[in-house]
Amino acid sequence: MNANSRNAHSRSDVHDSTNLFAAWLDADGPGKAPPGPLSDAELTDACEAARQIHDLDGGLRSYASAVASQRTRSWEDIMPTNPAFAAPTRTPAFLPASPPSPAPRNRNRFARSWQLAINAALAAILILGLGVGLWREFGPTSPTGPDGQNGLAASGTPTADTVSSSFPYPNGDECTVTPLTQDEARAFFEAVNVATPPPTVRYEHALVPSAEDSAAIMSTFRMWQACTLSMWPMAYSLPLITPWYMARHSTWFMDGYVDDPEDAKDKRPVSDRTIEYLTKISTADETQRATITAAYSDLFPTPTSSGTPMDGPPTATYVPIPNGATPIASPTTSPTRGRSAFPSIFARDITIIGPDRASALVYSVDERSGEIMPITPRVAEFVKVDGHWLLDDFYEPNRG
Amino acid sequence: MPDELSDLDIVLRSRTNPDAFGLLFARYWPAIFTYCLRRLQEPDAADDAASSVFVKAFAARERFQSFRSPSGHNVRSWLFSIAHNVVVDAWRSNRQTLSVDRPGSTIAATLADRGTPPEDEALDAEEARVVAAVLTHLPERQRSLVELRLSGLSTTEVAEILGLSVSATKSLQFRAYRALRDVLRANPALLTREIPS
Repeated sequence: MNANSRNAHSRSDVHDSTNLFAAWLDADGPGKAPPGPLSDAELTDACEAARQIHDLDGGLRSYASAVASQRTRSWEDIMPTNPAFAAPTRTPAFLPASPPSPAPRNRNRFARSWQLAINAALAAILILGLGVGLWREFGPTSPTGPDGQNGLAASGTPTADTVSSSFPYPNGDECTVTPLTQDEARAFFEAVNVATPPPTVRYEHALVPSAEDSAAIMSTFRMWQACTLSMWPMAYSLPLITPWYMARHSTWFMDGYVDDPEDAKDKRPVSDRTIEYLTKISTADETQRATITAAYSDLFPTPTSSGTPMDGPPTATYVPIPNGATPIASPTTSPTRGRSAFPSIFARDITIIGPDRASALVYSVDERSGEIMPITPRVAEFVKVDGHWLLDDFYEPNRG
Repeated sequence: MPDELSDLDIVLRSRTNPDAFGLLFARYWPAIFTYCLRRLQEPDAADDAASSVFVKAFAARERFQSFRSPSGHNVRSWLFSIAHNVVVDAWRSNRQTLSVDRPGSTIAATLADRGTPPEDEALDAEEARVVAAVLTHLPERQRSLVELRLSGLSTTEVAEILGLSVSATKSLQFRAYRALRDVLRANPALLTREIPS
């Protein structure tokens, strides 16, 4: 046996041992006899150490159980301690105090969200996350549009428009953004792919924005909603967001729950093939998306059977829309998305929170009942880049 | 029935009915609390960390994408991923206040504060101290792996949480437990009983 074959044999032994040990450990090994030949000293050692440490750890588990039983934590204990879940947030102070309305039946907008992962056309939608809205009602020529709301946005107080229980569906023509070209889209994704988001600089106290900034922010947000409608290629909405919005909310780049920047780095870079796919899908029209996604099916892990959507509509409670709120409706049906509804959104309380950085509270509104969903509001953050306000982040108020 | 809901069902349902998240909390609080306690050693710190895990999970529930998990829709891995980050952060920020010289002594002290501990509680405390002491001898990643294994997670789940391939996790795991053996042999004073040779 020459040196090479001995080395290969040795590597094979180690490989077998690691596999044997993993299988043994996964099968509740510490309670069983070690696997493999007893002559494999390293494997035996590992098994014995596992037995010892798992046995000793029983003491900690017992102790933890005793401590936990004394504390008797419940979800209700935790929720009120977090400002995001406390009553003032869940039911904003400006909302009239009235009992929640019963949830409309057949509201299952989120129930099939798992299906988005494997639906070709939905990949682009997932990347942009949450945005769907209506521009028509708030377009530049609309009486409730940005031009008519400068004062509203500046003061942070909605005007006293009458709120209807139903809203017209958006019209794609109301997205008037010049879309990115393929080269520009690729540059956008590559910008996300090379680094973590830059640090956010904030003022110690929020400032009242100018009427001009408020109008521009509101305009950006509503245009973004209009341009994220399912029929629009992503290239139309990319000019309205920063690359770091993509980094925070895209499935492909998302830091997700990773709070540690060091860990977040592990999520990127994504592969060249992923960038290629995103570039193509972002500039493809609706008829091309399925074909493109099928060609890149290897990028999509196959869901397991446990992904069966839940049956029946989820339950929810709703509170009335506040007086003077200016809701933006959304389509109740979308052949592409396969959803029956999606929250509509309006914004208020726009503030300047840092150099060229602003935030606004945004609320989801049920387009059927016109009532606010109590899980909102969320915070939308914007940054001013080259004189234009772009959406930079979107999160629940308790974050950070 | 709530008990019949899968973890994924609960997460999906909680997106429209936030109260549903309480089911996930009830299901995983003991395991997450124990995991946090194993690392942080202090019940109050573990309580805070475990609470933070569920608050973060609740906030991120709409971003939970089941297909990100190679094994499908592993909510448990997701929760432990959050817990892993939380305890690492807590450890980094509080390491100067933790019992470095005698890991696990906080647990023993806590038991002592509750009065004269029964014999079995004293043994629990001593065993917990030994585990904590042994694990401090491992490199960070190996320690994290063993802590996750002690929490009952599988090789695949640990791989997901640590962001490693399954094969890399198997190798790391094998090395970690062999290193544990060395630590146990080299530090007999840590042990409350002899390890069979």
